[in-house]
Amino acid sequence: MQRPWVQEDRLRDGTRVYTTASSLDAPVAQIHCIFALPSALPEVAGEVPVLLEWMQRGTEAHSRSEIFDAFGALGIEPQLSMLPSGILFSMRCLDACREVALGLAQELLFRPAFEDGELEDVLVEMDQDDRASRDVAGQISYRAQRRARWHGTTLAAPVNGTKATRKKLDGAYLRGLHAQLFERPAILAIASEQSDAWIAALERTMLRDRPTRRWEYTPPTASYLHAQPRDIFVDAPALEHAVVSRYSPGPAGEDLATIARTFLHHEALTDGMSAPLMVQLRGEKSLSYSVFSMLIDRGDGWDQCFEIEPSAERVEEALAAGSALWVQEDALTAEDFRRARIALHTQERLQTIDAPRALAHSLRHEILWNRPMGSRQAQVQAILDADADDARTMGAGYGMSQSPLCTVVVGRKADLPQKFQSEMLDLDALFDADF
Amino acid sequence: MTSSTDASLVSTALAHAREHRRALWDKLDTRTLENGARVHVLPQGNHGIAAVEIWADVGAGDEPAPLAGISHLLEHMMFRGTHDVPDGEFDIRVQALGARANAWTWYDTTAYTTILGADHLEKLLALEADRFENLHIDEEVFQTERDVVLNERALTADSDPNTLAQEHLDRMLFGEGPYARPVIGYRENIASFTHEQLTDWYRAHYAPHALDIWIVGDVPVEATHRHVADSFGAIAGGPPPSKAGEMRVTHHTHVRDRIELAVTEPLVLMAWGLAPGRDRRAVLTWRVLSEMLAFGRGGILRTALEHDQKLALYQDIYVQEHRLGHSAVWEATPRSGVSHAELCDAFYATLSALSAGEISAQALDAARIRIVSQWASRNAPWQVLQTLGDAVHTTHDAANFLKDLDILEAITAEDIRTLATRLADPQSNVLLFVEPEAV
Repeated sequence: MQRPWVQEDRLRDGTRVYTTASSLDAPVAQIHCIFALPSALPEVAGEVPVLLEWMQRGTEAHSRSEIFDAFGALGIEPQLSMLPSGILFSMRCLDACREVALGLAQELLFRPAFEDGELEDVLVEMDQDDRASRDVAGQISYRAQRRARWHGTTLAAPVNGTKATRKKLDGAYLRGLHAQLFERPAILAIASEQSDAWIAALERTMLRDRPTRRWEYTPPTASYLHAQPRDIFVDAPALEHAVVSRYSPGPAGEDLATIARTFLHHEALTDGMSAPLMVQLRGEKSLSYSVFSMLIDRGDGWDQCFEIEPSAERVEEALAAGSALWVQEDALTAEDFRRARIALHTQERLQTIDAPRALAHSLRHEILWNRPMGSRQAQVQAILDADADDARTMGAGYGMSQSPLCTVVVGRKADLPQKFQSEMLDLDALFDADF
Repeated sequence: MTSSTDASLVSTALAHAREHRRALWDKLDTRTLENGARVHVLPQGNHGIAAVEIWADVGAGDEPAPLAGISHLLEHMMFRGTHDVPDGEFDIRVQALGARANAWTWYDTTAYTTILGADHLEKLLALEADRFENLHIDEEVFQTERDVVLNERALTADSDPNTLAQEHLDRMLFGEGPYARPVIGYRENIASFTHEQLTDWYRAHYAPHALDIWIVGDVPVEATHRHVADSFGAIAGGPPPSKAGEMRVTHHTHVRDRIELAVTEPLVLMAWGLAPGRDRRAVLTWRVLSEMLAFGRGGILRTALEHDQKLALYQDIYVQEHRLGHSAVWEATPRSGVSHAELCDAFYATLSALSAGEISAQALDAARIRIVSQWASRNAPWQVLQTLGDAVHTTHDAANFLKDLDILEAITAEDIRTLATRLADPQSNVLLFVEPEAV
């Protein structure tokens, strides 16, 4: 077996550490620091994003402008964002600025000012930001998909919550949440030729004096179990086209052979301009400029998602044409499978061409799912080795050949076919109402 | 504050960037084929990957008004078959090489880009050369692809009020000039194109002398040049197309407009016309100033308008580099209850204060280090290729790949002050207010 791209180690307290380097690297390190959430299901929708935004409004020692200008003076734009079951702090930093940058990061993460006036401001801005996102087709569709796919759980809410849920958050609650979440981080990931020096510096600065971590990082798999997907149709009067997406069940479990066959079928059917999905829907039928499909990792299984943006009156045709390909026995030739294998092989090489990319790839496929290093390479090898006939058989057994999990249609009501016009949500209901 | 950019950090970062770019530059091998096509080969890394881009010297800026969008439609048709490769086969054959082909059209350039395993380079070049010589524009396929582009227009522009606002702003700034129209064209243009127009455009603008062929990655220099000579070298040459008359750019100033679009929140867009892309000092002065004004969550404008005065919800400032005259845009969303005029006045006041005050060496260095840091992280073959390609096409001098670092270092506080003074003058810009449509 090949040597994994990324090496795994542990600090004395159990913190997982991942490092990688490559010959293409500039003297710029990429640092990721992940704090575990106790659950992917928030108590109050939007609580973590509101907390993260409030944290970035100044520290005990410095104003909001001062702290970010100080990062900026080192060429750094730090990123603080929420993952499905963690909080990610990332920065790209010149090796020469290591100590000063980590000192600033410690201040930003662990000593925020938490001024009440700034919290009010955060809430006002998030309300206005929510309103502005109603102008963007992708934002509307993303919210509708979330709501359809995770119906029955708090994951159905928008990531940032709604105006109503955010109103429930007060300073005391958020300060308590900060104290709870920002213990010692669960995972450190570093792309640099000087990773040992970075780890030592992290121990001296960011990790020093942090309270003991009370829970380990766990992937969000369990949080998905209670979802009851349902269809959602949204009236978006300003859209000149529709956005249609359909989720279907993929293979369950972690059996490598099953996953490999499924993946090979999916790659051959959907990946690239020459794949039948793109050829038929875009090239032959002119249904849409954009056709998108992916297998979505749930940790213990996979979902299949397919998205297309046809004109409103062609929504049914687009759904039917896309779905039909999955069950069409002769949709794929041996040559399609051969091409899919070569394309996958090249794509994997691209993903690991330098250290930051290799680390990001490993985060997506291994680290954030608590899988062993090298498991992605084993998975890719299994896909490359999978038999085309087996893949074809497996392909008919998942995805569009089964009842969809949910279908989401966003478009102008008057232009959509009649069947989508009943029980449509308007934008107010999608953005502001209970979920 | 606990940190500031010290001069040694900047000079170390600049020295490293110089060394890094110099090492690449020294390996760049440029030759011209007999038919006029220029070939640039840069060996980089041992990862088995090559990035290939073919840059045609034509874009939306070359189009007369009735043909707005034709370069982009041609870009689409380049994937739809030649006399030897039937429709649909190009992508199949490219993917069989483990490659992913794509393309983009901009104002001065149309580029065809592929990333692939380096061992398949020869076959890819044969396919590429074929479509640059033998494109077959089938009438039925042409109609289908035109519909795809109309769908793209509906998706990326007609349904996106921010794009529509940007298009309106470009018309205000560039008037009737070549950069005034959107690259994709307008719906009525696209729908009116004929098979003959597209064929003529292809013949006029895709001849070898209009091409720069770039190959960067894990490739041997001599063998790669041989492969290009065997493929593209076989295409017959022809006279270069005349661009005279189409390429004059006039920037308008002091134009005001207010429009209603399907936005939920109002928007302010302010734009300035600036020097041509080859005026590197002007372009990079803009880069430095824009870094000083707004970066990530920091900068002078963010501090003034968002953090302190709480007038803006969101701001962005960016430069669009064009060969014949770049433009710069400030875009802002006022907070609820703040008028457009109030926000603009605060913008002018902030720029006035900057132009009248002391600009420290540290502030300049901080902006420089951010720019160098961004450049240093763009190190994959396709990113290096993009930087070099821009130097050739937008600035007309590949050596700007190196010179930019010296120019960046040479920018002074006086340069910044002069530019800030201009931005603080309401007469120098065009200004667009976008309001939500009345219900």
